[in-house]
Amino acid sequence: MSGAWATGPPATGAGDGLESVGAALRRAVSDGRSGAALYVRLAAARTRGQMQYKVSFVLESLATFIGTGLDFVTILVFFTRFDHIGGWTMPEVALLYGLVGVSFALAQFLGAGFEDFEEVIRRGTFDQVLVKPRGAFLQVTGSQFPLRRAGRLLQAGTVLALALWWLEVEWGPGKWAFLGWTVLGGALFFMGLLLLKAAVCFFTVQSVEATNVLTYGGQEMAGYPMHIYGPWLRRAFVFVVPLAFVNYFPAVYLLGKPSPMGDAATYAALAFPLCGVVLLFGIAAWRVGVRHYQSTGS
Amino acid sequence: MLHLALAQTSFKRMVSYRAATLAGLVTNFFFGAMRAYIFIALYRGAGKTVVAGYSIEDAVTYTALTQAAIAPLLLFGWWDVMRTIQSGDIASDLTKPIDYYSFWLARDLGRALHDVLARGVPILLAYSLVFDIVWPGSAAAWAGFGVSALLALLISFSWRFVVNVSAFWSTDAFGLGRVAYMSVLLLSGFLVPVAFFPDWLQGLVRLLPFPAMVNTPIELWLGMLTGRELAAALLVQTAWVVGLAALARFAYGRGVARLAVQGG
Repeated sequence: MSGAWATGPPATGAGDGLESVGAALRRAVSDGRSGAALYVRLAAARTRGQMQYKVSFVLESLATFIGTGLDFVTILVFFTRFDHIGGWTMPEVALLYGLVGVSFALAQFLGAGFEDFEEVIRRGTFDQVLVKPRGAFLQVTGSQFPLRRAGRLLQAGTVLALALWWLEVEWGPGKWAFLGWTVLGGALFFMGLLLLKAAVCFFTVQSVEATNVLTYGGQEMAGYPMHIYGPWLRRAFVFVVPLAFVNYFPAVYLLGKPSPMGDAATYAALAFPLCGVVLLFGIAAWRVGVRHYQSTGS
Repeated sequence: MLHLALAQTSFKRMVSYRAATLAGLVTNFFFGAMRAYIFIALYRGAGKTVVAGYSIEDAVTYTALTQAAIAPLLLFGWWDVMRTIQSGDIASDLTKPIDYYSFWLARDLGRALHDVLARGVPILLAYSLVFDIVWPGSAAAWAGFGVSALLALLISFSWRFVVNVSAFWSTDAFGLGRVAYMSVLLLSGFLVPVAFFPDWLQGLVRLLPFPAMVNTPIELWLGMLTGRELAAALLVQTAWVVGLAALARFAYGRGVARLAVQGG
């Protein structure tokens, strides 16, 4: 989350031979470093702020833990009545659930400022962001550090750990690395969606509730094996929004489940790059949004 | 007549939020379709036709009805009274020559009528285009469902009112409220039908008012309760309507006595 993505002051001397490329790179690195330092300071300040209201913090975390945990309780209740879902056993479904849950939780931690961006636009406070000598991206990222979301991370992480334990996996280092890579890719994917959601606010002023279908809906949907859904829903989440690449194709590969289409390893290898594309798309949408920003005049 | 006017105003106010209504419909239907596919996959995968008394059509209809109930029953939460307590705006409501509980109840009924028509019915119609769903089989079944749904709404309102007035006691009522609303999603049979629960959990939730809020009207719609069972279910609902209304009024009375509004 460096300042390199920020829409700060335009780069000077762009395209002036090798020397300026080197200079631009050095500047990007130093921007990134100071950006990261600033983000850490902001996050620490927001953490201290939230710790002033400890009861509130505990209750909110608990609510988040319960709220997200209920999805998993639902899965557990299903498995008291059924042996499998679409040929996947309970630990296998738990792996799917844990993977997407951790990815989403990570994205929400870093992207909370974008998720609740509607308020900023409606109140007109984005004006203040633009007059400050730092990129908008960094400022919005640092505007929130929702500790209560730790409840989600904890819950999803627990399920993921349980799933791996139940599955008694005997993976080499390659598959473990792939697991981490997958979680990271999923986080990029959801970060891209949160950016997209924020970008839409620039044009509609209101947050579009339907974008929650992509984030929360996507997260919940990906907790089950993708092939159980009807054709229109399934195609939309493979070809339009590549949700199936966040956890489903990687899990098919990791668990050696029968692949619904093509070679499992190929699809698994495609997962991370495609998630990266979603992030790039989100960043592009965000930049377009910032450029088209018209204050609400308040 | 004052209450009727309040309900009407509340209804009209809702009508003006057309974009929000449409967005809510799309969202509710999407999640509903997802839930329906999960049930279909579960039944087909297991090669079962009936599970815990639910046929596959019953299960799909159950997802339709629960999604249709989200807006009318405000299952994801309602904070209006809490906000007026926290902001101090409640002071102006208290000066009105009207009973506070029924003031909000009238407004909630107006809103709920709007949400039944604009959020509930369209969900069921959309479902019937994509899935096979079950409809009540007779005029009596429709009437039974109607009564049960109205009782469910009254239970839901009193419950939400109790959650809201907790703000008289605690400045952290918002977090508390979220825990309460979240838990009810499971305990009411919104996420999974109560009949699917393991026995110990069923025994536990049947002691609580929450199944009467969601699960009971659905079982009536699906024709699962007849004769004495039906009468008993309606009686239990009525008891909860009375009990929770009494609790709501009591909690409000105690709370307002300790209210301190600053400034103004």
